[in-house]
Amino acid sequence: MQLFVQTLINGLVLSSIYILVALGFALIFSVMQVLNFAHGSVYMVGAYVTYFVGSIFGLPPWGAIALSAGVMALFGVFLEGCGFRILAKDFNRTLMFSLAVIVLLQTTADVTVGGVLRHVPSVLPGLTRVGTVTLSKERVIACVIAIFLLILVNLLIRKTGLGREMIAVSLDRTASALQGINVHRVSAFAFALSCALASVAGGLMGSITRLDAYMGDAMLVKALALVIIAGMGSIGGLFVSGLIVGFIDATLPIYFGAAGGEVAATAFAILILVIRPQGLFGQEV
Amino acid sequence: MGMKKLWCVVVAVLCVGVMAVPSLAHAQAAQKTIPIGIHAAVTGFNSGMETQVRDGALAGIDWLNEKGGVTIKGEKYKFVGVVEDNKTTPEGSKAAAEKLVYDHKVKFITGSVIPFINVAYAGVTEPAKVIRNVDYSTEAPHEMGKDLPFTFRPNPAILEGIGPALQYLTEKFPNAKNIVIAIAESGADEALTTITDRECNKRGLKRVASVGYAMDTVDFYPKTTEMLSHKPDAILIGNGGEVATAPLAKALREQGFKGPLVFGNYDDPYEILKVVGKDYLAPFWTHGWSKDLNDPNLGPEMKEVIRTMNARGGFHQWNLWGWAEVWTIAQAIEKAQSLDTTVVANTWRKMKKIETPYGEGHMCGEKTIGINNVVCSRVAITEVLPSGDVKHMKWIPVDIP
Repeated sequence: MQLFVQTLINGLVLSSIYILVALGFALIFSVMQVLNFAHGSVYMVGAYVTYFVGSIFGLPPWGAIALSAGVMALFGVFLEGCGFRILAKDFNRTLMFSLAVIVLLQTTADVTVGGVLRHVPSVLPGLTRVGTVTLSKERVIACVIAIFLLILVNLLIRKTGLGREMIAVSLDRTASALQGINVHRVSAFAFALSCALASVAGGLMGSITRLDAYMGDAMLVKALALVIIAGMGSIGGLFVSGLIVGFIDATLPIYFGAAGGEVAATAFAILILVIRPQGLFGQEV
Repeated sequence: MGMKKLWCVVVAVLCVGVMAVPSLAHAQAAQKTIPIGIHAAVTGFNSGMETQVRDGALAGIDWLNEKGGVTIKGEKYKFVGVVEDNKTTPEGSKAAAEKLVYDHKVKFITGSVIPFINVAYAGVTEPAKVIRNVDYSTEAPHEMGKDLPFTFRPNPAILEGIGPALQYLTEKFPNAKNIVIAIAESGADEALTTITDRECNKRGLKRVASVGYAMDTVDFYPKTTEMLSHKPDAILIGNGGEVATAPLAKALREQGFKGPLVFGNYDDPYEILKVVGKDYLAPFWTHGWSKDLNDPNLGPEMKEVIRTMNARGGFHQWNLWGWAEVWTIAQAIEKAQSLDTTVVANTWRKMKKIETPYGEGHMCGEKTIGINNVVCSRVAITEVLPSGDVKHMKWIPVDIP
């Protein structure tokens, strides 16, 4: 029973972590229909920026995460303007560009700051009990933040003018431009928000685990699995796909080893692609 | 006429100067050098650890050169480090070895850490009779043994680490009997489990479970849940590096495990402390090293490394491995009085005394792995106390028959 309860809570925590990371990735995929494979590296850079702004300026963890999100939002605008916007019409080149960004960011981090183990100070130190289960408060706060941001982004898209513009751009970029929507502004905003979300995720995860130049790789795979399962255009569907992947990863490794868990989540995503390519929740309008 | 004479003198001096430069260069070139290849992960997931090993090796080379290098049959030689990146991949490992052996023509190589990386480049070095001094290995015959006569290891590794770590457990926590071992899935799983069982049996301990994890695990809670479900008295972290073992230790403490965390490996206690925090870490010990220069028990050789690395920007644990590798190679070359690697290898494995940063060692391994290619010295027990202080507790001599 103890093992079951612990596994349940592990699944919830892991699901929240995955949702947090996948949110920014899903936003770009839904709005710009761009598979930004560099999202994992942006998450990693966001974690390192959080660490360094905290240690250089002596900011508390919350301040460091907020400042880092701002910095990474600007980086997102730069990425969009100097790369993705120019290559927008060519899927292959967009893909190559995002892969090049991964190599550049990872290698730079590896040779400059990757040599020493770093850890973002905890946003909420201490432990708490949930029934018979003990876990860190920072994990609880990560869960709360993940759900809060998921709701916030969903409301942004559904209830604001900017959100409606994003939906319009995702449906038909040319028609949106003809209707007077500044598609470049919308895309830049989407990228800025995506990178800021990745940075928040990186900062929180950097305190739960540790920083390293390759921490984004595994997260990118999870983000991709979540987006595939939820379906393109479905931000709210991330909640369900996050729960599915999170619970698979929390339970299967216990019985089938680390590799078994990795294979299962990816296999499920492939299965969804085969039997329901639009994902569980398709494209929301 | 006077000006003409002056110009003649100036031109003559210039001519002498120009002629002297090649002579000086020739004199410089007369300084003989021995290139040592440093096969390390400069990029890739293990770069954090192996760049420290590389830095230690380069510092060790400078230190040896400052002491005069080596003298072989009356001729003085200095060492030159040549670094190649193995990228922490088997393909990168092989490519780096090929560059070192065929492009740079090195006959002595140091590195690397991860067993499958070392296995990947043995096929390059052994046929070419290039001596390589690896950072780390297990008992597995495809890593070290009589089929790999040019592969040596100067640093304590799994073979030497598990026993002393468990020995200290029995001394400090005599009631702790049930052990779970956590294994980083790096190719050493079977060897580690075998060694653990052997060492547990010797001490009346019982291994109740082995739990494997991937080095790039995102969240350790599922794995630590599995470990704790076996209700261990102590958890043995058999291998891995701080990039994984630090968050693993943190997850164990967060999930309420208060028993001893026994590191049979050489992970840096300061790094583990940074991630886990002093409120939760103890009781914990590792074979990693204290860097307290005021500790009289640390050993002058180790203090020399710490001081040197501090002067070069900061000491990190794994500097010791690189330093040990170049130092032991230098001693073997000098003892053999030859650069012929077959002669050096044969001489090396018969050395009854060899210096390391960990203290005096001797060559061992004949009965266990079939060849005397391991340097046995001693391992440290370094504890993190409840106060958060890192303290060297004792040295335990080790021997591999």
